[in-house]
Amino acid sequence: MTSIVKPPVRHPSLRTNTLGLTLRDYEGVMSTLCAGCGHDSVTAALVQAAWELALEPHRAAKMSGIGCSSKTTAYFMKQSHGFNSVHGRMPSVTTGAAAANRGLTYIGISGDGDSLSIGIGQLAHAIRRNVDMLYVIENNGVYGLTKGQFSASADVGSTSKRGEANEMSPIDPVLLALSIGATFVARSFSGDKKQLVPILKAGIAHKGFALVDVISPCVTFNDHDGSTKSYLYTREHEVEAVHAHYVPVLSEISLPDSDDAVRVVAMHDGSAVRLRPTATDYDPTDRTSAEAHVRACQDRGEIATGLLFVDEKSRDMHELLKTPDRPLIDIPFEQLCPGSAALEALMDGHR
Amino acid sequence: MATDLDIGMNDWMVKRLTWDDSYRPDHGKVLDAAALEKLKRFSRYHDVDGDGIAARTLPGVGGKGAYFVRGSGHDKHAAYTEDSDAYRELVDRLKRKFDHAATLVPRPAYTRRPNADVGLVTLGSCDAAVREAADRLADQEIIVDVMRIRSFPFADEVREFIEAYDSVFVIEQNRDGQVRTLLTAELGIPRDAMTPILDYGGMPLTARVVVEAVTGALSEVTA
Repeated sequence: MTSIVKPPVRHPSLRTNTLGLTLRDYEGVMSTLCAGCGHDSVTAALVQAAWELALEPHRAAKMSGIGCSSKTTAYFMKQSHGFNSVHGRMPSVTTGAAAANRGLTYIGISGDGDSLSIGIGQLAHAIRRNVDMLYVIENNGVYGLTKGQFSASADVGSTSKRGEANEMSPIDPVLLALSIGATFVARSFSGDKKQLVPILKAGIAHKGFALVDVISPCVTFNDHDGSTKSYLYTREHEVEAVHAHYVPVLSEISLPDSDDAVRVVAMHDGSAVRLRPTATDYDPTDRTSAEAHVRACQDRGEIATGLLFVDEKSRDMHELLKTPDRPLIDIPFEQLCPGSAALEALMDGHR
Repeated sequence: MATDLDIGMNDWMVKRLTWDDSYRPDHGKVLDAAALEKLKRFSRYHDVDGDGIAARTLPGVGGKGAYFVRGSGHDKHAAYTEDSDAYRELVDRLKRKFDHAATLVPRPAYTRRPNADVGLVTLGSCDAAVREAADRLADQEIIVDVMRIRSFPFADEVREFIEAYDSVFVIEQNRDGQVRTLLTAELGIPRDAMTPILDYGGMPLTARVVVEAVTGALSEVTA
């Protein structure tokens, strides 16, 4: 790459968060994605969300697999550890990291190829285990790095850049996640930062697996008239089911809400999410109705967005495994290793 | 680690396991916050002492220790690069690391007899059958030594063993003699200096297969 590395410029009027960090402190290296790529807007939303949450950069781990989407982890929070895993294996790597050190915030970035083709088994089992992480799928319906073949999320009838129609039924990550017990399921659009940022913040605050499917158009291969994942199509067919508003501290919303339709979901860390369904009969804490709504939208050619389902009472992986509150990495070896006496007893038990 | 179905799926007798309570894991070159503080810049893949192993950090240790593990081209600072020299530097470091690893991995295991003039090389679940074969061959006054390879990259002892005998057999359970190919590729030992004994019928190797192959091959040479 021949671009010149420019010294970081900080305008003195830049606002700081509670850690004294500016938005720029949450940026990463320069993106090498195509100009106009939806993924870069997702990056901007992640930077905004992490800054607003005042995440300590060195206490976050950015995890990804392979693909255009998975390059995103290099483009935000350069002071955080990052890991580009083998294709589709990010969920396992994150599961392992989270098992060893539950004290970090895990942000996983994947794509429709990485998560719905090669890594679909991995994704499904990370959902089942309810690994405490944010899992963003930058979904564009095509394999951008290999010149635009259809991915598993391409809708029936949508066409490739050259006009060939896809005839295979799509895998919708939102329906998949809802059907196998995901505890936080949302969909958004890279072109709707106002909707996306609060969802990302709520997803990070959620204790458990937070799936956020983000329609993120590929400007090079899938932003044309025959595409159902183009900027125009998504803008025209996006139907927000639930609007989420993230509230950092629960006490701020102790006053009764004038809006009867608003549901307040208390997050594990003391924050809360105010959920305002756009249709009166939509209940974002009811899995069955969420699933029915998403499917009905799909049948109408619409894209259901918003924080579609949340179950904050669920137990995450560590609770299910009954691991100690203290991260395993901080527990001395003497305490972790049961030693020779335990081994003797184990062997005697097999006699 | 080499394993196979016989090891993986069948029950095996083992000696009673022991645990050394004084054992402490060695995590190698891991920099903590204090060590990082002393550095001007942490460079994840910079080999400072020539053994090919660069110091690492654990996530959460501090902003200075953060780095991005990536599959695409990167330099010694773990930063993205398309610079050929920076990339070559890292690939050459990995070669040093691999060569260095050969001095640290488990040594081969031997079963030796005085005055042996035949060497048998094997690995994994072939071991018991090959050692039994060595006993039976001794009954026929064919004295053999056995080496069970336990690791890759190959330690120097592997070459020394193979070069010490006039006749060497490599016993393995696959059609193509994959271990023999590796020995040739990695150590430069001529293929023809090692006679393959290959058993791949799907059942565990038996001593009889080895005895028949060795006596057959040796009688061909003497005939």
